[in-house]
Amino acid sequence: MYVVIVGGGKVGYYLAKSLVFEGHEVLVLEKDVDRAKIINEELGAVTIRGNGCELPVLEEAGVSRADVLVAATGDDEINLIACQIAKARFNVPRTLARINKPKNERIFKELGVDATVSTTDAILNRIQEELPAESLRHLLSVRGAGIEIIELKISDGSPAMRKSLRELPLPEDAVVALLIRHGESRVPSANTVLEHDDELVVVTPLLSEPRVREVLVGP
Amino acid sequence: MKVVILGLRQFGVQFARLMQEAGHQITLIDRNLNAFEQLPHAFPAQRVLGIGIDEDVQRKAGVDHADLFLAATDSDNTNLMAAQLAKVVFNIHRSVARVHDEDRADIFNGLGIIEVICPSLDGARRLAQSIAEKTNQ
Repeated sequence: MYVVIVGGGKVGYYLAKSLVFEGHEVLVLEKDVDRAKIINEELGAVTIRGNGCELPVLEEAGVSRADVLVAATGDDEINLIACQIAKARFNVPRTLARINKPKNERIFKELGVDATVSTTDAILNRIQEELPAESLRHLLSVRGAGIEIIELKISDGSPAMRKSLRELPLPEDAVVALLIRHGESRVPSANTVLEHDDELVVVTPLLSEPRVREVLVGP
Repeated sequence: MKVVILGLRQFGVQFARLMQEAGHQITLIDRNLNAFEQLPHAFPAQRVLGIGIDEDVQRKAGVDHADLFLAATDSDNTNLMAAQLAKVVFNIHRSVARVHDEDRADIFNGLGIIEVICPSLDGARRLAQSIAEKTNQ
C-alpha cells in the first residue's frame, strides 16, 4: 500500500515508522527543513520537504497513485484542506484526518473526509473508562452509525429511583438493554422498578443521550 | 443584510467599511484583540474575539442568521475551512473565502460549496481583460 502522510510531527513520524516497519511504501510531507532531515535520517529517504496543501508538492509526491492520504498535522484546518485537495484533484480513494476539536468530526465527514481520528476524544474516552465513580460512562461508539452504548448508575438523587421503566419519559429511540443488580445482569422489562445502585446499559443515538442522562441520572 | 467578516487584515477591514457604508449590519471576528484597533474610530460593528474555525465562535457572531460570511485571515486553509463550516453547519446563503494560492482557489471553486476569491488572480485577469478591450478598440 502507498501511504502519503501530511505532517512529520510526532504523530506523523511514528505513524510513518510503523507503516515502514509493516512493509508499506510511505511518503511524509513536512514543511520544516530540520524536521524533514531528522525523519530521513531515521527512516531512510521517505520525506519531501514541502506544504501538503500545495499542488506542486502533492504532484511531486505522486499522490495520484496513493491508496491512502493521512493528514496528521496539529492543525485541523490544514488536515481538512489537505484531505479535500487529495480527493478532489488526485482521486485518492481514502483520506484520513487527525482532528483536535471533537466537534469537527461531523463537519469533516460532510466535507468528504473518509475518516477522522480525534486525540481529544480518545483521551476523554480513556479517562471516562478509568473513572468508575462517574454516574454515566461511554462503553462504545458504533462508528458511523452515531449510536452510543452507555452505562449508568442509579443513585439516591436520580429522578428514576423507585420508578418503572414504563413511567420514565425516555426518548423512543433509546433502549435499556441490560440491568445489573447485586452483580447479576438481566434484561429489564417495562415493569422493572429501578432501585438504588442499579446499573443500566443503554443503547442510544448520540442526539438522544443528553435526554437519557436527564431522565435516569438527573440534571 | 447581516454580514460576518473573519480576519481584520486590509481586505477584511476595507470590505467591512464598504458594506457598512452601504447600510449593512456588520459583525467582525478576529483572534487578536489588537486587530480591532485598525478599524476607523467608533466603527459601528459587533466585535467577537475568537477562532474563526470554531463553530461556537461563529454561532456567537450570529453566522446562523447572517446572509453573508467572508473569511479573510492571513491563512488560506483557515479561510477555506471557516467558509465551509459556515455553509455546512449554518447553511448560510453566501459564504466566501479569500485565498492567496491560485491552485487552491481553483480547486475549491470547482467543488462549488463556497465562493473563492483570489485577489492576485482576479486582479491579473481584470488587467488582461482591460488590455484586450483597449486593443480591440
